[in-house]
Amino acid sequence: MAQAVVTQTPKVREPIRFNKPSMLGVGTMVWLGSELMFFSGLFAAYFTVRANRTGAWPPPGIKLDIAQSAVFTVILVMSSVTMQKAVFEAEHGRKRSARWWIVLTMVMGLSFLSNQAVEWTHVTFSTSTNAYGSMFFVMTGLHGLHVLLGIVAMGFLMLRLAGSKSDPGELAALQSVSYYWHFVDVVWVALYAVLFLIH
Amino acid sequence: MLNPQDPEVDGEMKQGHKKFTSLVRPRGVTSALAVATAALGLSSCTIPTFGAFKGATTQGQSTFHLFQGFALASIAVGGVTFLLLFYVMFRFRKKDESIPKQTHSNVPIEIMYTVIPIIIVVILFFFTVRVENKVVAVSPSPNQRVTVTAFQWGWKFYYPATNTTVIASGNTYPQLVLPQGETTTVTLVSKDVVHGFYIPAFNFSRYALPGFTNRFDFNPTTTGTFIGRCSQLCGLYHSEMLFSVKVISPAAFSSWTASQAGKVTA
Amino acid sequence: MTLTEEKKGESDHGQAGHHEGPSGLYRWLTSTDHKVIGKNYMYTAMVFLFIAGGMAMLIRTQLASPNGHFVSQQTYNELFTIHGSIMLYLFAGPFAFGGFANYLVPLQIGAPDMAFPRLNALSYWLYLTGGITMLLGFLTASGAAAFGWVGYAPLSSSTNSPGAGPDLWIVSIALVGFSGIFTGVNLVTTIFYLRAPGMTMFRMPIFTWNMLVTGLLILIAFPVLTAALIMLYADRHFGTVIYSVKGGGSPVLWQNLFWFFGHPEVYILALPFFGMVSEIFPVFSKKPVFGYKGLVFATLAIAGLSTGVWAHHMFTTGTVLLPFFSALSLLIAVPTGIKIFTWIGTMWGGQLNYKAPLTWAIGFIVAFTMGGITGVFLASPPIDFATHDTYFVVAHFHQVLFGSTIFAGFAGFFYWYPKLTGRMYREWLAKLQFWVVFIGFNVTFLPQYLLGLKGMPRRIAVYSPTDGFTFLNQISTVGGYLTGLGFVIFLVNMWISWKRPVPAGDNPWDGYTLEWATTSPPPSHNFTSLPPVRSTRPTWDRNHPEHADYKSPHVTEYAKKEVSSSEG
Ligand code: HEA
Ligand code: HEA
Ligand code: CUA
Ligand SMILES: [Cu+2]
Repeated sequence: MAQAVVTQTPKVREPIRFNKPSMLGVGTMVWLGSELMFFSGLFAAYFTVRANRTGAWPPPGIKLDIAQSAVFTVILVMSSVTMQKAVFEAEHGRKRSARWWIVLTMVMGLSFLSNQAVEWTHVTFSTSTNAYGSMFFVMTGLHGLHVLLGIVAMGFLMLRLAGSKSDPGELAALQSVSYYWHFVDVVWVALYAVLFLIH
Repeated sequence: MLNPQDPEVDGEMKQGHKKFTSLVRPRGVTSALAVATAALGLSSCTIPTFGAFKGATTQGQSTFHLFQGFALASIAVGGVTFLLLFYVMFRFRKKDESIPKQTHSNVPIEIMYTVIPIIIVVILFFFTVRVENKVVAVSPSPNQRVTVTAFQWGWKFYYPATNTTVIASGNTYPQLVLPQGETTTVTLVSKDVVHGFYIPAFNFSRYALPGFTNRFDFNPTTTGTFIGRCSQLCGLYHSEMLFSVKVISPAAFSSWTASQAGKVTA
Repeated sequence: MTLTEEKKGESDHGQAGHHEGPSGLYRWLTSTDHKVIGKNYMYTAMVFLFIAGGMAMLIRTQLASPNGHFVSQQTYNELFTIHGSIMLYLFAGPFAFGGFANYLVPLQIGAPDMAFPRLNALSYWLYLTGGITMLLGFLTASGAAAFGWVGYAPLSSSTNSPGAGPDLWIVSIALVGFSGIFTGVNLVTTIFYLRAPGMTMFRMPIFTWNMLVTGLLILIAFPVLTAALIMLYADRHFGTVIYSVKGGGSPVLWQNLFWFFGHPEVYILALPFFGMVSEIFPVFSKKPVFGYKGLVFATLAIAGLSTGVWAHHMFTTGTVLLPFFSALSLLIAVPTGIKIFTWIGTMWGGQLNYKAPLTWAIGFIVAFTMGGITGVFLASPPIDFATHDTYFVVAHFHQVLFGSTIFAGFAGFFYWYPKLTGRMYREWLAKLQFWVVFIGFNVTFLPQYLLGLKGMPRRIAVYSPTDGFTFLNQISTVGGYLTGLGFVIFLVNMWISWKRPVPAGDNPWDGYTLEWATTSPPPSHNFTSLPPVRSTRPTWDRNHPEHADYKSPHVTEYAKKEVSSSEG
């Protein structure tokens, strides 16, 4: 029913954002609730390890490039904006434009991942140096996997949006991937604060 | 309104309600509560043990009395529940094909079976905290200290005052010696995995955790030898990680420590 | 009265898709129909029940004599670990939440299928893969995992538990966990999104409510376990030191994470079964459920409280706030009690029809109340100090677990068996099975309370003849065998029912909820026509218009809603 309204009012520039969410969207949000608990488990582990340590935090010998990661943090956060832009474009039926925004988002996500790969090879510690090192690799690694999953999902989205015949589910799929992507970005901000900034 | 109120229905429902309450309130739960409270407070010795150890330490005895109280309370609670259940089971067996009164709810009864358990739980909690504070209290100035180290699969008892060490050896299990009537603070650590330092006769167990030190007190009340076990699964020979506890008089204890000073028994 | 004219015509139609040609098995395996997947779950879970039950027989045989030599200590440790793991991860949860919920929730809310049918199929296959993975542990050189179903660090580290068995255990539980999470997402979305017109939240059957709450609990609890397992795996293989004291990690962290999952897990296992009996008591009393809203809020309260009590499994670590966790644990007795009294209240004044489902459901109340009350003992830290990790705890959790999964589970199975298969089981065999299992169960587990109080620790392969444990253990073993016999009776029952089918009809129990408004078994799209949903009992309302709920003066609120919705 909602789609009919959208197509009949092409002149209205305001994006229709308050439709009843699609079933896929509801499912995605429910699932993201469980993802939240997953990361909460990791954060709980991190804070336990931190509470166990009496000396300085992070432990001596841990040096991270806070500024460089800050740049890529900003890039990842901006990629949420580009992703949302893709959703708005698609909601107005501009599939071509939406695809370009998705590509941009994927590029930003990939650049974030490459930075993380570089960081992993350059840090002064390893998984076994101490529990901080362990948590660093586990948390950034699992988050990185989520970013990767998001990029893969966007790849499938691209294929789906490329189809010429109209596909009733594609908008819902795009919206759901965007929820996921926003979630992953927010988690990163928390991770960045916890792993890089807390002393 | 689709349906007019049916006065007949209402009346019957109220009556059912009355029957229900009269069965439960006065004779059942309230008296059960009274018994439970009395038991928890007075801990009379005529109450059966319900299979539990009486506790060979002051701490263990408090736990035992708490257990008795819980046992009585639960007999009362379980008894009332089962009485109700069995009454219903027999009283309301199917008699014919008629359709019984379609009762959907009865708020006073529902409130009753919410509030009464809350009261019971509060009482149980009150006594729990009292006993718990006693059981976990650690004296600042104990008469003795002993460090217990758990390892796969044995125990080491170390008396710092006399520098005495007792470890498991071969087929004999190590023995922890404690003086009767005095306070001993146990410091419990583990060398490898989690173990459970468990003395059934003391009604007490505590984990030996790697990387964390536990402290607790024993005030043994009776002399004798008791078995000690590892209660937490710790690997292949968990079942055989035993020790014994020997409680002796303070005089015997001082001569024992004197004779063992500086020694390592393995 | 129970069969309306239009529906008689439909039942042949429902039968049509039932017998397939050679492609039947293939269709069955690749199906995304929630009913097929639900049945797959149920039958697979039952196979796992028999495997784990067989292991229990071995455990009991070992313990029948002091210094038992029936199996080696290593094997014994593997046996109880996998017995517990299968029972909890592969039987109880999947049986109820994968099986019953999948099959019944869409039917009960009048939906054609689950929200995400393909995800649903994926869940099942993840579960089956996970289950097989766990069993594969026995084939590895070093044997299956042997650190208990709780896998405490650092016993589960690579130094203390080397080999592939523990890894398979970790992977298996992670897979089953994902399967559970996906089913949870699916069910919650289905319930939010696909309810039939008129099916408001407060008209949903209690069973569906319980499944919704269970789904939410799964989404809260299982991801934490997944995170904990990933870190455990990393510690074992990638050199991390998260659970090891050496690098500043913490072994107690595992316990906290595990029990944050583990305690909600026991209610994840129990709540679906509470839901089943909440359907059975009303139907076999010919009354509506007593205190519907009370039941719903009690369910929510149990779920809420259960996320805040995990450390009652860690009282003896000396690292947790005893009064806080004790208070919350004791409080759970209140909503659970509400449920028990609600069920009794449902039967009060009814016409109790003692068919197998009701008999089993009453067996459930008896077992569960006893086990729940001893749980209250354990929630008191001093008493827990005396009984922790003894057979007192083993007796407690078997009474609640066996009580819910077996007693309530069979109550539910016999209740819905006609719906699932269109056939009737043999009543007398189901009753006979009940008595054998009921007696066997009590003979097995009641002596274990005494054993625990006498100081017998759990998870010990051998005890000494001088310990005084022998006699009680022998009784327990006899009870165990008797219980096993009871399950053989079940197999016989199923065999007979399969060989000599007795058609059950669409609604043999005069059921209340929507699944009884369609054929047995239902057609692949579930419903050809839905009765109007104007109360919690739409099928009853249709079949007993003169006693319909929406006419009840007691439920005026329904009446008002009905007026407004029929006008709209
Ligand atoms: C279906 C699973 C299930 C259920 C429902 C429960 C229910 C409860 N459990 Fe249990 N429990 C387990 C499964 C379950 N448990 C398992 C598997 C373990 C062991 C894990 C392991 O270590 O391997 C365990 C262990 C366990 C422990 C740790 C023991 C130890 O290791 O030392 C504790 C401690 O508090 C506990 C408490 C409780 C309580 C208070 C309840 C309550 O929810 C019970 C509430 C019910 C009632 C009380 C009965 C009905 C109520 C009334 C009739 C009302 C009136 C009653 C009163 C006012 C008292 N359980
Ligand atoms: C739903 C959960 C559930 C169920 C139903 C059961 C059912 C049974 N359990 Fe289990 N048990 C657990 C969950 C469960 N258990 C858990 C979580 C643990 C803790 C593990 C740990 O410590 O880590 C445990 C531990 C445990 C122990 C303690 C081991 C120890 O600590 O050393 C014992 C000992 O008696 C035991 C016995 C039994 C018995 C006799 C049954 C019987 O009632 C089973 C009856 C069923 C059958 C018998 C199936 C059908 C059998 C046949 C048809 C017989 C023929 C087949 C063959 C011989 C292959 N169990
Ligand atoms: Cu040490 Cu068990
Ligand atoms: Cu618990």
